[in-house]
Amino acid sequence: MNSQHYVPQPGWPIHLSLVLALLSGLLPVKESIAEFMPNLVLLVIVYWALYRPESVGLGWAWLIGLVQDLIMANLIGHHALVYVTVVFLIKYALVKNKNYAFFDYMSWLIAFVILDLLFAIVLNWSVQQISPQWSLVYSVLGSILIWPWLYALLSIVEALAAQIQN
Amino acid sequence: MRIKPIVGQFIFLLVLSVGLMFLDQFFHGRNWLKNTFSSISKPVYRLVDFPSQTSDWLIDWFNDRRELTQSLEQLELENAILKVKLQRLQAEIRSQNKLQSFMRSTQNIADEILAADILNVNLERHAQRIILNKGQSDNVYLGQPVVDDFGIVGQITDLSVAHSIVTLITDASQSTPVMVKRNGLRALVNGTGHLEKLDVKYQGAEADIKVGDHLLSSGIGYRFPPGYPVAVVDDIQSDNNESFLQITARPLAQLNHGKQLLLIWPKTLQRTPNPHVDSVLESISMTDGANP
Repeated sequence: MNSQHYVPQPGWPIHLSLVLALLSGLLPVKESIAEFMPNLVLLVIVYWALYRPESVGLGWAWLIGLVQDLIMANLIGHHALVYVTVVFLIKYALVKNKNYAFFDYMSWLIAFVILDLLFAIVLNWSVQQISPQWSLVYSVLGSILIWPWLYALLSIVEALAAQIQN
Repeated sequence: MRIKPIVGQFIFLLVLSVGLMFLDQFFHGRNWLKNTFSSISKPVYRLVDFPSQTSDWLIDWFNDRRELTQSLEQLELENAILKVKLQRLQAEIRSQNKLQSFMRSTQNIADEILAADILNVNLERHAQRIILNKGQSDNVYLGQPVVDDFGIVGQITDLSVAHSIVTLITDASQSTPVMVKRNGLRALVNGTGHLEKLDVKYQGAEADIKVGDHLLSSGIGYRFPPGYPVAVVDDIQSDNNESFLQITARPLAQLNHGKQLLLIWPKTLQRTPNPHVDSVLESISMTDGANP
C-alpha cells in the first residue's frame, strides 16, 4: 500500500488466516470437490511471503509446516521442507523488485503448487511405494481457481487491519 | 564470497526437515514429537468436529417421541432378523468345518469388540484415513483391525492417548490377504486410493475366481483375523500380454458413511480357554513354583 513511510503492520491477519487455512484442511468435503481442494496453507504462506516478506521468516514457515504435518498425521518434516523452500525462493530470488504484475505472482504460485505436488508424489512413491495418481493434477487447477479470491480476501483483511490500527 | 545468512538458515532447516523425516520413518508411532503434540491436535480435532456433533445433538433433541419409538421398533425387528441369520450362519460354518479357515472363523465370534465414534475430520483429499475417538487409553494398538457391520474397514496406523487414525483398506499403501469364500483360493487385495475400488493381485489366467465372488480375510500375516468379509469381485479382465488377470473388487464395508466403527481384539491366534486344561496347568505351575 503506502511504501513511502513504512509503519509496522499488525500481525493478526497473518496468524488468523493461517489458523483458518490449517483448520480448513481438516474439514470434511464432498469427494467430488475434494479432488480440487488446494493446499490452502501453502497458498496463504505464498501470499504473505509475496506481499509482506518483511514479516515472514524461514523459521516461521518451517514451524507451520511442522504443525500441519503433526495435525494431519503426515510424515513429519514433509510440509516443513516444502514451505521453507517456497519462502526461501520467494525471499531470496523473487521479492527484490516489487514491480511485478498480478499474473507474474500467479505463475510463480502455479510453480510452487506443482513443487508441493511433485514433492508429495516423490515422497509417496519412495516411502510408501504409492504410484502417482492423475487426480492430483486437479488440485493444481483448484489452486489456480481459488488464488484470485484468496488474494482479494487477504488484501481486504490486510487493509482493514491497517485501518483499525491507525 | 560470504554466504548470506538466509542461505545458511535455509540449509539448516532443510537438513533438519530431512532428519525429522528419517526419524519419523524409522521410529514410526513412538515418536516423542508426535506424543507431545497429540495434546495439541486433540482440541483441534474436537474444534473441527464440533459443528457436526452439535447438529447431531440438535437433531436428536428435536426428533419427536413417535419417530424414536418407530425407529426402536424397526431396530428390534432388524435385531431379530440378524439373530436368526447368525444362527443359520453358525450352523453353516459348523457343517463346513472341513475347511480349516472356517473352523478358525467360528472362534471369531469371541473377538473382543469396542465401538468407536468417527470424528468428522478429514486428513487428506481422498479421505483414506479416519480419526476415531479411542486411543491408547482404551488399549488400542498399532495395526489393530477395524470393522463395521458389513466388513473390514482398515487398520490403526497412528495412535495417541485419546484418538487413533484408521487407514482404510482402499488406501494405496494397504494390501489385505484374502481368500475366495467359495473355494478358499488365496489372494491379495490392494487399495487403489478410491473408496469404491480394490485391486485383486497376482491371479493367473487359470485361477478359479468369478464376478460376484465374496472375498473374506484369510488371516495370513496375522493382521486381520480370518473370516471377516472384505470385498466382492466386480470385474475380471484378461489381457493376453499380461500373465495375471486384472481383477477389481468393491469393498463391502461402508467406507464413506456411518458414524461408528468397531475396533476388534482378535482372539483367533490365542488358545481358547478350557477350564479343565487351565486347572491342570495351574496345578503344574503351582508345584513348579514357576510363573505361568
